[in-house]
Amino acid sequence: MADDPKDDEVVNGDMASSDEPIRVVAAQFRDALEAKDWEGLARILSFPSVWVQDRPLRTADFIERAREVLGEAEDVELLLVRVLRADVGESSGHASVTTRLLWSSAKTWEEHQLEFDLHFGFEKHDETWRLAFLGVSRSTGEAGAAVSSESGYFSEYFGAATLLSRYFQDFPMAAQGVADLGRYFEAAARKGVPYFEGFATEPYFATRAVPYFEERFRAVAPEEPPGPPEPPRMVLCYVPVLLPAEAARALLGKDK
Amino acid sequence: MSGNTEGALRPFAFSVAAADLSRPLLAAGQMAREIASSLISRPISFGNATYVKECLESLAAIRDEVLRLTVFDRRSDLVRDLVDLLEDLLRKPSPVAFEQSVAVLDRLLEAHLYFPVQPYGMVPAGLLSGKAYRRVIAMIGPGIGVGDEIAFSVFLQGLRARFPESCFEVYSFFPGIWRTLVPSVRVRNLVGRPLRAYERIENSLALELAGDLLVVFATFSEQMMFLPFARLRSPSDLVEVSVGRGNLWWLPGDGGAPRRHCELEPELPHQGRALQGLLRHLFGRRFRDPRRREAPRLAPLQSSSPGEPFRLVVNPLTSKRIPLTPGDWAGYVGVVRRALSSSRRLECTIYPGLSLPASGYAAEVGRLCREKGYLAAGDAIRLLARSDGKPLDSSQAIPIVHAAIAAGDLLLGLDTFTAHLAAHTGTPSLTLCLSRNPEFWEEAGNTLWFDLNAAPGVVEELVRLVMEIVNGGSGGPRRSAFDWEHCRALSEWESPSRLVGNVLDLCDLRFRRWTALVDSIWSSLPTPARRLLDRVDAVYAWPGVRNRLGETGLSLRQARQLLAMVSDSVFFRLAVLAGRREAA
Repeated sequence: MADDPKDDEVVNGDMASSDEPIRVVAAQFRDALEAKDWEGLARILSFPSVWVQDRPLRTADFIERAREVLGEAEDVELLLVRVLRADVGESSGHASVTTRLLWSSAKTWEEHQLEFDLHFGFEKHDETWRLAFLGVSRSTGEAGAAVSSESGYFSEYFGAATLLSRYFQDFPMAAQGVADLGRYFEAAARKGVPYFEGFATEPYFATRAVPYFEERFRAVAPEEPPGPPEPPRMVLCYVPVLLPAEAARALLGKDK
Repeated sequence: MSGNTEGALRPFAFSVAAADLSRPLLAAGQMAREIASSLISRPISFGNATYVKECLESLAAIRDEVLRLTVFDRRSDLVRDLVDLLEDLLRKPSPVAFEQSVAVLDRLLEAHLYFPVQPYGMVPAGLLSGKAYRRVIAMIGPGIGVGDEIAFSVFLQGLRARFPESCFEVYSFFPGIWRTLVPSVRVRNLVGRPLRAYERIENSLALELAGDLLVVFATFSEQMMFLPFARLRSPSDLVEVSVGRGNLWWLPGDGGAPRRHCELEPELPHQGRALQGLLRHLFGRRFRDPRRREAPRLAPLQSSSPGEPFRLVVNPLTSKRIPLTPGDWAGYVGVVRRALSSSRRLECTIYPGLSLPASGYAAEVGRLCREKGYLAAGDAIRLLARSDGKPLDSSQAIPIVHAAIAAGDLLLGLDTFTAHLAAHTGTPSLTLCLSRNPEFWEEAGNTLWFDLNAAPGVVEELVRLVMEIVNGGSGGPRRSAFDWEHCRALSEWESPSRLVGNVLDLCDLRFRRWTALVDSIWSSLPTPARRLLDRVDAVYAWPGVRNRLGETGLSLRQARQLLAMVSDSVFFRLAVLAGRREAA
């Protein structure tokens, strides 16, 4: 036996109070999904849209898609694999977690698995935490977290909606047009987001939004040095715009 | 806003506690050790390739998980050693390699990850009484046999009955057991993903509120699968039930030393009684297993009517050594055939196992039945196999075998999972054992367990006697072997173990009446039947036990042991079976 036992670990019992909303909303969402309680899920997702990857989806459609995938499934399990980021304030907060969804086919017991990130936004109403925003994006995988931990950087792979929700007080919201997006991204840049790297999924954004953002960043970047001084930050974001990394580096004057 | 990013480093944890790889490594190492150990300690007959393949899949998954950990800590020698060990094992799997890997894993775990865990004090009686969990997570195995897992299902059903509002999740290497026997729980397969239960527990420890979560580990002999959580100060209840040793560990939520409680009687140990005892201990004296109140096992024994075919299920296979030849089994089928009237058809279903060699053995039984003329015109014999004739998939085998046994009139087989399934379906079964091991025999009165070594060469006679009950009783042909009315009275009586628990002393009138009743049934048996049962039951035979029950100065404790012996005897179970048949 090893004769140097480490100190006791503390889990649930002494969980910081700031983590309570994460626990509450994550457990609510998990329980409803695992029980295939679609009505319950609709009550939890009491906002008009869920952001899936880089675009909003009507909440009712999101639930319908979940029902299509899991309706005939057995033993649904949603595992929260890793906390990517958690910011909790007095009355609102955000958390991004990597999750794994597992289920079995009812007839063959064949097992299925999907891994993705969930981005929760939550608010406090009458002393009760509730989900106020949900984003779904591709899983970051272990490598990203590991690289960031080794290099001292903290990397984030956020969906556009999560990005927006993180940096604005009037959250939750859904940007309806380029002007809205531009306003939000401008504010994001002012808050120190060094650069965006992503891809366009719709020509609309590439042709109309990118020039707008480039202009805004030119205006913002020189006045706002990227990121806090210590530790250095690197934020990688999936956003619905095409902004070449080279351009961003040139704009921001930072290698990473 | 206050940020918290530490959780980002946890390999399979949602918890926001500080990153520490020792727990996932301990879980991975311990799981690998137990899987490898079960491969060398459990007998594998007929090249049970399915089981070996599943174990290798699980070990590969553990290797992958440990490899993932290298992403977080590339410098760790321990991580590298673990990966190398599992790589070697997967490259050249062999019994010797498994044996060596267990020794190396023991050394690695001992040197780096294990820490001393000594029980301190007893588990308080009534520990779970008055509690109401939102979620109960059970992780079964590894290293626990299918039969033992079926026996353990009674324990979990007891918890289920006590916490009807809780969401039950069972993680098992044999998910078919739970999908079949306890369909109200959520079942997750551990084959190929052996660490998923740990992930879920870790998750739930972080997500559930204090008092909302109960975690139950089930092992065969105190494998301490709870160890990765032993140092957590979590307000959730964690227990580990050792099915083979009849004891229970409890990790107090205050981070204190674990407590231990044993219910296995030292003089006459019995797995089923110990598990019931553990339930009683956890819930206090007032606990009554609702399944017992309904007493489904003592319900009248329905059998197919004489107009219908007699359905015999045969399982000639076990992972242990099998001393019987296909010819022996064909002979037993012949005895069953001869016990039936010529107008009644026999439908014989043989379970051919999961491998091709086993399937060949079962097919040989069928061939010999036909060749030696053991079957009459119109009789049918079939193998439980896939439609293409190949062996069943392991994930489908248990529900299919269970359905066949439930629909059967009699199961004739070896001491393996089918006998335990029969106990749960209520179908009469005659189980041939390779040694007298009543500690693991089901208590259910419909199951007859017979030690082949104790009385060799009497199986045919025993099958004839069983057939007289199963095919006889009310509505069937009657012979004189049983005092049917008294048997019926006996079957309506409480079980011997409960009887002795309810009487205050051995002069109690109920105890004396019960003894007289059993005596009367024994005396009414024809001499050949008494001789047969005397040989079959050996030291458990009624005359010997009866004499000892009459000794002066017998304590209640001694009486309880003697009555437990009675309830494990073939004679007593036959009498109860006859009574249930008469009541039908």
